[in-house]
Amino acid sequence: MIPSSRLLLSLSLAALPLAVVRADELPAAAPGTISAEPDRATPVPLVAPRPLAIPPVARHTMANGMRLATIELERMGLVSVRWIFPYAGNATDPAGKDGLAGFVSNLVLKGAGTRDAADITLDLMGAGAGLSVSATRDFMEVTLTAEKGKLDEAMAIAADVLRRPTLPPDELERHRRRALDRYRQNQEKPEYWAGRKLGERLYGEHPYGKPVTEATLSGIARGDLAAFASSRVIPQDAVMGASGLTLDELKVLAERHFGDWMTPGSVQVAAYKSEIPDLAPEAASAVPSGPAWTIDLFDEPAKDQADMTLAFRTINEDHPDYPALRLAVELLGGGSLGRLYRNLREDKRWSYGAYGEIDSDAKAGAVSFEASVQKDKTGEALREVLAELARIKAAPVPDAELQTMKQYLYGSYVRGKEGVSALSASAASIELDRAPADRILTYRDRLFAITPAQILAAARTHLVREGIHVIVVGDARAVYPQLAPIGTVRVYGRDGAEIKDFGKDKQPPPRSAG
Amino acid sequence: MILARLLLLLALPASAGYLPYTKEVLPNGLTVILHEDRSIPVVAVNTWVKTGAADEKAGETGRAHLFEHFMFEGSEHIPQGAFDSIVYAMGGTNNAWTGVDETNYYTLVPSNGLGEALRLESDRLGYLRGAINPEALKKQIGIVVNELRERRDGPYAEVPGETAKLLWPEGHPARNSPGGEIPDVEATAASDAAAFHRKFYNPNNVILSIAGDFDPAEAMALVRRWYGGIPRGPAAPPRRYPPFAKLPARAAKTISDAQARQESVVISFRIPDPGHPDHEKLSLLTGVLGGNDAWGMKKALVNDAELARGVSVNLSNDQRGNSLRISADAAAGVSPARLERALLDQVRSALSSPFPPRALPSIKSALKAAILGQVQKVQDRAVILARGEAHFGDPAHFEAALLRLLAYTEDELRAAGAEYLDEAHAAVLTVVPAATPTGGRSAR
Repeated sequence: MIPSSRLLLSLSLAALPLAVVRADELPAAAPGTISAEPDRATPVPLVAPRPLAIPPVARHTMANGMRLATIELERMGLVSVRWIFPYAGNATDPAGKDGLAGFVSNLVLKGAGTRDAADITLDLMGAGAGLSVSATRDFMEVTLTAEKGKLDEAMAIAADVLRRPTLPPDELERHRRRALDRYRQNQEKPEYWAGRKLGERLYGEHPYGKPVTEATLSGIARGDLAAFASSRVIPQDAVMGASGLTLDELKVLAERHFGDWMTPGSVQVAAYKSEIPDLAPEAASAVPSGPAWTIDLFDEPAKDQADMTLAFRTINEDHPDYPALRLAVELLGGGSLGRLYRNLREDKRWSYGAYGEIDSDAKAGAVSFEASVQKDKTGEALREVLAELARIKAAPVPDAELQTMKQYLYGSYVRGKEGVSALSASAASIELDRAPADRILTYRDRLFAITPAQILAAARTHLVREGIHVIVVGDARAVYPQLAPIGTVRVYGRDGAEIKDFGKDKQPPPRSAG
Repeated sequence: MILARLLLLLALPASAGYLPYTKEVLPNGLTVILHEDRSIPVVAVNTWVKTGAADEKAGETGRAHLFEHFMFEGSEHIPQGAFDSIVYAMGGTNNAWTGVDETNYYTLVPSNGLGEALRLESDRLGYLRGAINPEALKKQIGIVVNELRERRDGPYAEVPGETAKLLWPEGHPARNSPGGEIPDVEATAASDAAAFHRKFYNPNNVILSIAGDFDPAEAMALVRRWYGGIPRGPAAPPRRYPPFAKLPARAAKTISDAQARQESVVISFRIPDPGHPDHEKLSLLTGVLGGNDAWGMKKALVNDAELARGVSVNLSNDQRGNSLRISADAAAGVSPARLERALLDQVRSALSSPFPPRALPSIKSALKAAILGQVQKVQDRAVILARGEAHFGDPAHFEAALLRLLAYTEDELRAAGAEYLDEAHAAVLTVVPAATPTGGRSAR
């Protein structure tokens, strides 16, 4: 089964004397005694870890304002290129046209230059390439992965898509029909209404919270797409991050495919920079507490578990407290090490898992905790989450717990740098933030410098407890009585409309078959 | 350098070493595969135990899965709770899954933690039985039951189980769900757990694959040190490999789903197991059938006719009891029967007319890129090497398979499709949203 060269190799390795093994890892073993059992109860001492060796980001700004950044590591002959267009996120959708950035990111792949949708698909496949375009809140992100030898071919397709989208009217109408269809289907999904309510609770009227509706989807015209594509998907301030390429290789390709791409003279980049309104973080004092606190409960009678989300707005990574706050959130909800997981899963056994995270957008950060719990334990589980939030604000985190969390986070960070796609994302984000070229290599020191006192201070200042937004999807008849003593519970039906008198007389809620 | 290697791959008849490895079997039967890669200072230690859902008997389902959880509860020299905390404190992570044929554990550590990772992993392989306690088992039963509830608490959650029942007869190994049935899991006793460990968790039933930043000679010495003294166990019970046969006749069932909001159709065909050339041909054919904006069901039924909201065609890759599956969500106002007819017509026309121009070469080059994308991480490399060894006795099986895939012709694909994708032998599952008298609709 094994090619003979491999067999020889493995035999020769087997024959190597044990002397080549580092002595510090083999205290008990001597040649000839390998079958004797080692001391299994004593941990193997760790030597110093080998540091991460990722080349620094190399960068260059093109004459048209496009900012190139690359990390040279190649893997398996694949390369990855990632563009970020900072003025083309969905928070910049014009009033009444919510969903426009999403439409553009879909339709640019349906026709570009002389290629139609089928050509784009076939040409990308032929180049062993994948191209994806997506609109996030703040940016449009475009990712290209290709075999290095066919990158020129693949980048020509990407250049067509970004610079010469044809926005075919029939494709627009098909996409609109699909978007409307999905929207209508969502009208019957409690999880859709729950997500929409969360956006409304967190961001109110701010563009970050605005839902796409039937009216906005219907109102998007081809002219809107063309205007958005030509005035926002522009080289000025765009970032082109890469991995698997030297800076010279990247420059040659970028000049060839994007060098003569100029931002139209009429576009006022200065105006884009301030167009999304600021959002102040929600401070503990600014949100209602006690009985005025609202829990939004979306009724799905068929659900066996209750899906719980607790969220609030907070600082973003521009704030100096952000790294300490992030650590506080990880201590609560960071995977199976987090306090919530250990409490709700390992100790109480009410849940398969409970997690928390902090997100940083350009105008605000948000913290959220999520758990899917046994429906008969929803109230108790919510109280436990609130108690954990109170606990992390009450006392400094013990050193051992913090050390383990830091090691775990650093390990995850290192593993997150594996593969070309991860590295092009790093290159792009370092350039977007105008961060030092060696930011990846300094992460460890920055992480380990955070003290328990800083975490405690950040938690006390930025982790809300009273007035946190709580959204639950579950069987309201079972869940409501458990939540009513904790806050003011508003119950919504499958259609997202509030059921006004739910639970008033402990009777099943009114329902219609409609 | 890597490009040169790619060219070699295309030129050579056998595997040309995308992932160079060494393989050795210890005297106690443990198969050890090492793949060195120094890109980042991380090592993946992957333990592939040859027991999965397909090895379970009726009334004892979920044993492999429950046991997978139990393996994190400590062993004779590792106190309860210490496995995770030691791994995390090193900056590592770990997890596991239970599949049809395997229970697979992985521990990823910074490269200075390889010795410690092997101490932990070898202890739970060789020295678990003395640490089995009913309280820890009870805890994991509770967690597994929550996992199964969560997994089954959503739309279309019954599709895999119901499809398996349509496709496979009572007693067929592929009929078991990898998670297990809740009552069976709840009924598992500590003595069952000990017996399970004795039966399957022996070095001679395990593949240890290690990928990443290490010196192979040092790593092999560490493996011998920590695993060499674990005694060989009894051979695992022989596996049942039912011979391939088409489903005797069309089988169809409609289920109603209280959380689903749209009609869905899942058409399945039995196909030969991986290793049979027809399985490989059919894997390419899924790309022809499913298609994209240029051809296939996506173009014809989703884009053009708008009969479906989405469609996917894929095939399973287990050791026994495989199928090719076509799943589609009906567009508004389209009956499941009409959608099913349209899907089957698409199969027929794809098999009876020439493939669209450029389709097959495009599928092949995309497939090759996808495979390179799938082995970017050392953890994925450790798994693909272990799977190759477990299924084919050849860690680099995927490389040879890729070479064959790149060579199949349109006629070969069509012939394989005609052989297996016969609607007279299809299993058709239709999911309809339950009528909603209790639909939580507000009165307004």
